Amino acid sequence: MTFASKEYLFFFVTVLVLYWLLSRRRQNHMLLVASYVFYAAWDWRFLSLIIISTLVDHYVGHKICDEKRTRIRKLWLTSSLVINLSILFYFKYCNFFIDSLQGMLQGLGIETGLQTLNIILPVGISFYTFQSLSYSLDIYRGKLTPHKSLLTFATFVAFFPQLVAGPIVRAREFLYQLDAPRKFHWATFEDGALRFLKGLFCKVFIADNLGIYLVDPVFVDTAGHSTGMLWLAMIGYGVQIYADFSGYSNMAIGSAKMLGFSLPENFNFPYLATSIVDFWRRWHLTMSRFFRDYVYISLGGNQCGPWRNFFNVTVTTLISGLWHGANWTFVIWGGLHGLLVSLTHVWQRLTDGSVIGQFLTKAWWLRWAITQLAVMLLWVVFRSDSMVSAVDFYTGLFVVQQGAVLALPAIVWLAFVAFLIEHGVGWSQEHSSDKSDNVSARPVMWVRAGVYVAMMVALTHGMPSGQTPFIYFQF
Amino acid sequence: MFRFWQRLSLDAPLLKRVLLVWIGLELCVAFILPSVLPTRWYFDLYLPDKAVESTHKFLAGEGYLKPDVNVGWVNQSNLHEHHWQTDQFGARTTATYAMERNGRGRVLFAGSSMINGGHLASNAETISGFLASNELETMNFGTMLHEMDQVLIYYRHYLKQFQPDLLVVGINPDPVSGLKNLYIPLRRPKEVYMPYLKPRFEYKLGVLALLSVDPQWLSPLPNQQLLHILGEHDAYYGRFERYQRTHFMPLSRSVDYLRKQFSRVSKLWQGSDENAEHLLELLMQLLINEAAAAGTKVVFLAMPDAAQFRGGWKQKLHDDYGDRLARLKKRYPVIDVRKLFRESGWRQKQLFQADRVHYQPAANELIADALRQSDLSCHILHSCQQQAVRQ
Repeated sequence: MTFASKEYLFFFVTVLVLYWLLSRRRQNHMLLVASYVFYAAWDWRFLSLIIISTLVDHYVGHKICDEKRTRIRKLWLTSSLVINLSILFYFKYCNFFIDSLQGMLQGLGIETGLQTLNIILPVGISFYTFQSLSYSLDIYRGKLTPHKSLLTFATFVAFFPQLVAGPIVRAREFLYQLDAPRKFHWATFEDGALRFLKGLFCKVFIADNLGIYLVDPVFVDTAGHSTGMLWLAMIGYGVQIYADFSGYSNMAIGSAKMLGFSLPENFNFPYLATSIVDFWRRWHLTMSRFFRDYVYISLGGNQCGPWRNFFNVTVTTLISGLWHGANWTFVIWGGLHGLLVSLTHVWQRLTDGSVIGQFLTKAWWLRWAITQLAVMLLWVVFRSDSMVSAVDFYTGLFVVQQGAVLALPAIVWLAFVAFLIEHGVGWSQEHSSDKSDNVSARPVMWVRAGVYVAMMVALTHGMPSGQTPFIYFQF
Repeated sequence: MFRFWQRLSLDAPLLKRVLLVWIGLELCVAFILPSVLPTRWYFDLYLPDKAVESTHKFLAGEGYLKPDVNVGWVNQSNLHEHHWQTDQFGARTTATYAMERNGRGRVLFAGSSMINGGHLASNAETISGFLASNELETMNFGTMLHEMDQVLIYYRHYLKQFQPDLLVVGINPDPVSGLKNLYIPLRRPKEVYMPYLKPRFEYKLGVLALLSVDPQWLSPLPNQQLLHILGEHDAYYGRFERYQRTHFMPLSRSVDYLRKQFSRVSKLWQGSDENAEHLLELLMQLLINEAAAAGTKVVFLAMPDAAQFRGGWKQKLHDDYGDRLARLKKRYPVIDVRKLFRESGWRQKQLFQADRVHYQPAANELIADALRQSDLSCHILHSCQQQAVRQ
């Protein structure tokens, strides 16, 4: 049951209506049942993993809080980390490490006879594991007190709008919302419903159409397409993955809002970024925040020498790359981003106050162009099945090759235009000199209403047949 | 309602405007535009590009079927495509036969692709193929999407000349819907490979009148004359009118979707379309009479699809196959293929192809054996049974 399906619409409307008819206490119970039903619709067997994670962290949270001795507290935290990360490792990375080990040993001429295991990857395991872990970590750091109610905690871990692909919510920003009384407000409902619509449009109209008609055919047969098509497909993938993931996040935030909850933002127009550091302040914010708080800062953050900082950044981005999937392409993608972040810091230090530095400060368009070129080029590694296919793609990009030119349907160009409008609005919001709230002016409101209706019409006609899974569900 | 609207205006002014624009546009698209815009434009949108392409190919005589002024379409003659082979008459046979009789028994098959055997079965794996022998000529004129009205016309204009001893006619799983239809895309919009025109009979005030069609009416596509004829004579034209009102906007489309689902479910509690059933019986009777006048016996095969074969709760509520068969069996020689399949003890996958409509070769063989042993086919097939050489 994906958000962009009739089943979800039916499920959500039913939950929404019943939810607002119940008392707060029952609302939480209902959310928990609905969340488990939602997850069981994918694969009921993996519900046990969520339940294990929930029970472990709830128990460990109390134990850490009750314990005064630092060593024992650390021991409890370690036990939570070991259990959660073992589950994650087994289901997500076991085969990857077996494969890599085998490849390495074979390279040394050693036959291992190791075989990969037949493991199914549970949907959204990286998301809910991290969410549950953040609870124990925050209690250990003294930023949170354990929650008494196991049911409320279980509802936090399994909250269906963000269960399978985020945003990654921290316990301290969500648990109190579950405890607070909720009242239906039309204003919040309006915000949520329109947010959901926007997300659905991004996912179905922009991401799915770009994927089906442009990105997938070109990435499947790199050698068979012209250099121009490869550039277009690379940009297409950049737009697709953004529309897909930000679309999901918007649907999650919108669904939660309609239920009276506030989830953190996950994107802030990443393709307006004028440096790689800026890009990571706009892309997958909740994941970046998680790794910053629990990995980068734990390693020492930037409160150390430049080389140590370089090391911290690289390790954090490598782990974040690996978080995306069990493949060397993700690790390399993360590593390269880390390298670029570090180089940006070094460059800023070197050019600070110089003529070049002053020029670059003014020439935002040049910084933007260089940043976006780097981001797009790195998406190739992210999208490719292996490093060999990534290298093939790069070769096709920079060595002019003849090949097929796809006859793209009009809907692909419309998807690009819709994306440009979306980011254009973001740009105008960021650069508008008039910061007053003119979006609520009457004529503007009518225009906005027209745009939302146009989205609905576009969805009615621009929905590719069949369901396309969200890209981030695999992570 | 007023209070709700007031609340919405105060707390959610944007949502209110979205609802207003949306509903206004829905009403405009559903009720104003169809009377302002030319129907031709809608028809252009209604027909998928693939259907237009298929029409051009069809009119140019390319593909498995070719246009026919009497029947609408018939099999292409002398075609050899993979498993599919037709002779100079457009029949699927296992040997070459002349039109003139030469002392051997002759059995003709007519009906839809279920009789024809479809693309996946070779000529020898069709029902007719399993019956063919040195003593018996079997010619399979089964043609994709042919209905009982077309079978009758086909017999009148072409098949009669072959002077068969026996004519085996397939009754489709739904043999009545197509009798009210002139243009396939109106009844089956997803049938993009066969956007053809078919003749139909209209039974009004005790008179059976034939509405002939000319495939050339499809050129150019669309044209006002065609739309006018369809509006007058195709019972499914209303679907196209509904398309004009409901296809373009999300709310009307959703309402139409729900209406379709509801009508599909409610059909389970409704009786069958008596007028169409009566027309079917009239056509069968006419076929029997005209064939008998030429010395030909007719046997009908009531052919179920997988859903009708399997049964289930829907069939318990409304068994259209069983009801129709019970009625037809009283008056006509009909072989119950569903009973045959069920008694065989075979599973659905052994009998039906993946499309859950067409039969596997083993099922065709089962039907051929039943035909051979049936009293309904009299001595025609019995006498040949001894020498039947089956592959």
